[in-house]
Amino acid sequence: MRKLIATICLIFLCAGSAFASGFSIYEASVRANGVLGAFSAYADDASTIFYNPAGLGGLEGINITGGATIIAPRSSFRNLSPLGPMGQETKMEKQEFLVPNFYGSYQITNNLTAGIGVYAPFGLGTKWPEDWVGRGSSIETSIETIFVTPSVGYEFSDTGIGNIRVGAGLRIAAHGKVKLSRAVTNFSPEGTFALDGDLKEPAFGFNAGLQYEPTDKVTLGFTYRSEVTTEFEGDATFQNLSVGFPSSAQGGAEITLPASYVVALNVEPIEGLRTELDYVWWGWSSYDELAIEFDQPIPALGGSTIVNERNYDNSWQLRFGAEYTELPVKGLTVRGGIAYDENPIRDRYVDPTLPDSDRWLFSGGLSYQVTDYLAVDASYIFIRAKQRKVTNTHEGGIDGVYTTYANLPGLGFTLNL
Amino acid sequence: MNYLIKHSKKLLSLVLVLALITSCKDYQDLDVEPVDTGDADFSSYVAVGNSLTAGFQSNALYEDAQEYSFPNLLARQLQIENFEQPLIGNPGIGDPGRIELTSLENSTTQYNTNQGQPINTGIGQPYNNLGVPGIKVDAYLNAPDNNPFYPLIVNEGNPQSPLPNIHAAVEALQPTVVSFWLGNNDILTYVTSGGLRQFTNPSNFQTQYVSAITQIQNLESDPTVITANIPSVASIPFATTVGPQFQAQIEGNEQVPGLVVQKTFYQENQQIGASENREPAGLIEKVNLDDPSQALILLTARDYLPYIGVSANPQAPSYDEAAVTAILNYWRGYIVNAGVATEQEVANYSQSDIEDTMTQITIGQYEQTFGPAEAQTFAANYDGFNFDEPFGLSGQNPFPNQFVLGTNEISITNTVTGIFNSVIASQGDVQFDVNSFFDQVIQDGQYTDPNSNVTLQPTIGSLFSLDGIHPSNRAHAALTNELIETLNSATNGDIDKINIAKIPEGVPVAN
Repeated sequence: MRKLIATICLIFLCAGSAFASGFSIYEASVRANGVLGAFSAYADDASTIFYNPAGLGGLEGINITGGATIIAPRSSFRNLSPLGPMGQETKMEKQEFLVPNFYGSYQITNNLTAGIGVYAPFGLGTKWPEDWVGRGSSIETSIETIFVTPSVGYEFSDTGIGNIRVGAGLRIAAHGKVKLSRAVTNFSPEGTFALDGDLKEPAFGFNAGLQYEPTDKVTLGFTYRSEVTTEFEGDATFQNLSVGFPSSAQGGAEITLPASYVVALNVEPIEGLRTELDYVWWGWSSYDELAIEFDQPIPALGGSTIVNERNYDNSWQLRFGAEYTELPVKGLTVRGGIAYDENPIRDRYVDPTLPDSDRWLFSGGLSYQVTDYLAVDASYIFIRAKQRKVTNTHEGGIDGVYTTYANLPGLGFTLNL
Repeated sequence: MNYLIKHSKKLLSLVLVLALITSCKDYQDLDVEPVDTGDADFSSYVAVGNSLTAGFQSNALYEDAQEYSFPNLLARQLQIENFEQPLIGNPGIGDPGRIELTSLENSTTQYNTNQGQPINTGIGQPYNNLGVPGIKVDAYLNAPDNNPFYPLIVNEGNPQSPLPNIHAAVEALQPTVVSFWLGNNDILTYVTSGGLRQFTNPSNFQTQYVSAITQIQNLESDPTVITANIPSVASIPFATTVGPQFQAQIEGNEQVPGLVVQKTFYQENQQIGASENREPAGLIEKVNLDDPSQALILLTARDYLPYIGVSANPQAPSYDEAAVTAILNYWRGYIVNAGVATEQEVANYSQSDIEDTMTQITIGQYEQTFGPAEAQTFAANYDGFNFDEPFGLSGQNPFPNQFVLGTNEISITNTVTGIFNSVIASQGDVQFDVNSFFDQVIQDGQYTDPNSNVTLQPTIGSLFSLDGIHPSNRAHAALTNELIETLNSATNGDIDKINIAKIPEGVPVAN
């Protein structure tokens, strides 16, 4: 297992950055990106392991699909706090994140298919200039996760009421990193606090799904993904802070990655056109605080814990996508999607570690069947977050206006053997 | 299928249009609501004052503190762009340097004698914050001698054209609003020197104050003039922290009846009705040490209180070589300051040389105050100095006056402050009653920010910086809010207040 994780980590060097609400990442497959993840009632490739493991039931032969999405978020902040001039703008430093995915499935019997998926369902990456007005709230934050999910799916085909598929998988958080740094402005000269941690040990959860096909034109889907409680541990450094702080310490934090469920409806109104609407619910209220515990008392903190209140709310997304295959060009499939994503962070707790906001997503994508076995997949997502003005933020926050958008190109392949 | 092909362009266009609508909205325009200043024009602001206006903290003027000076915070709330300050890089300029915490656990401090450099020079105009640490009212029209900050603050904004006085800088800026907060040092130096240095003669104060305000009111820009009064200098932590601490320390010790303090002879203070003092030393009983109307032991006494009871006689049980050296060195410095001998000369003074010189100085001071005839009688009965007696417990080895304000000095301070404040109250367009604000805070024992849950205490490290005299970052924010409230009610405006929880404490630490 250790070796497997190590290998996977070598392959997936990257991963990071949030680009769904909270710090979830729903871009787990390039094909699914094309329909903005409205994929839980359809799922005709191995990435169904993420979207709905029930989709494995009935997936024929060997299916391998993989790819990567680049997330290029851009944020700016206009200051309304007393820490700097009114309206002063700061741009978040440009960062691009490569979010990989890889899935493989093997049909064991006519009705039973097993598979494994490797993907990055949570991540976040924000970096602000070191001397910016909100440096006391955040300079750099990043969370990376890699999940490995072995799954099985089974199809009941002769039920008399249509096809029923069920599936389940073990969600293993196999790799994770957190990094955060911020200025400590309570002293002159200012110092910097940084924590660089790794996932302490693999953490476990599960997913389970159901698909029901009353007719061959309509599919209903339901997916549930459980919470995964991860523990991170690493070095805390206190730069330029010699009074009241140790020279170094070990710090740890527990982050509960939220549960989610999906209710999906896929309809084929006309030959070759499949449309799908997914409602995704996120149990973000599990993320009520980020508490960093140190291995020793830190006098300046008056204890050995820093608690950052988060108090997220549960949130939802509505994802609509369409795929069309009957085009004049043989082997070409086109996709498009639109989604609305409600953010889980209350105004009071919005801070520059994650300048979240409700957002609209638009996507386009295509697949081209190069040979009988191999298809190339491409997708593009544009995200526009609503401008967010926050005042009366919590003690660690900074009042101001955040503006965010992101471009997410993706490229992948799918093999059907 | 045909339907779809037929309409695919329309569908695609619809999606594109939706995408464009959401993405092309101009997010670069931030509509900051304009500030409502009511009947007054607060678009151009100049702050005149001393260290309190400059944002001086912890015995130094430095950038990290200047950022939170009340004028800078007010300018921000007034949405004034480019409110220029004479910023000085950390750890700033101070004599002998900035006070910094060396330990959080026991709050020990030290001076950082490194000096910072000016960093906002040559901007081509005078600074908007013209707070000059250490100045008295008369310095508004007459450049003070030997003030290290004055040239930096009055002239470094535009070094090519040096200005004759602070008023010339104000005149060049032609502001629409001026805050004028001077007068503190006219009495504060009296307090911080334990009554050794004189306060400004009240009638001179009136003349100087009125003429400064008149000059500002006569500016072409016809500014609104805010005059701020003087908070009770005897209730700042500089004067109130050490006494109760020392009292608690000696509470059960029968050997220490209190503190025998060297006294200053008064005559000149008859002008404000203070009684004459003819005693060279007097006992402040220990029960009076935590009564702020009876005695105030100043923060500067902190280093010498541990030596109470020490005798310079090596045979005595209370002999302590390090303490004796420190005490003798203190008096050596006193002799140099009195102009009786040079530093080189006193360095070679023996214990008895110092005792004799101090005795002579005391007789000389008496003579200067009450005349030669009375001095002769005084000298005949005077025991003089003898460091073999226990330090601070004997009239012959008294605790230095410089570190203590006695009952008489406290009442002089309060009377003079009252006179100054009545002059200030009669001047300007808007009166900012800082005195009542601090009185209230001291009476309540705390200040609660209505915009957050933050409470601040009138102590060092909370409302006061490490010098115990100057307000902290958060106290500056509290003052700004008070001033905003005063302005809002004077001009029917609605200027936003500051959430004090957001202001970093910015405590100087030694790294």
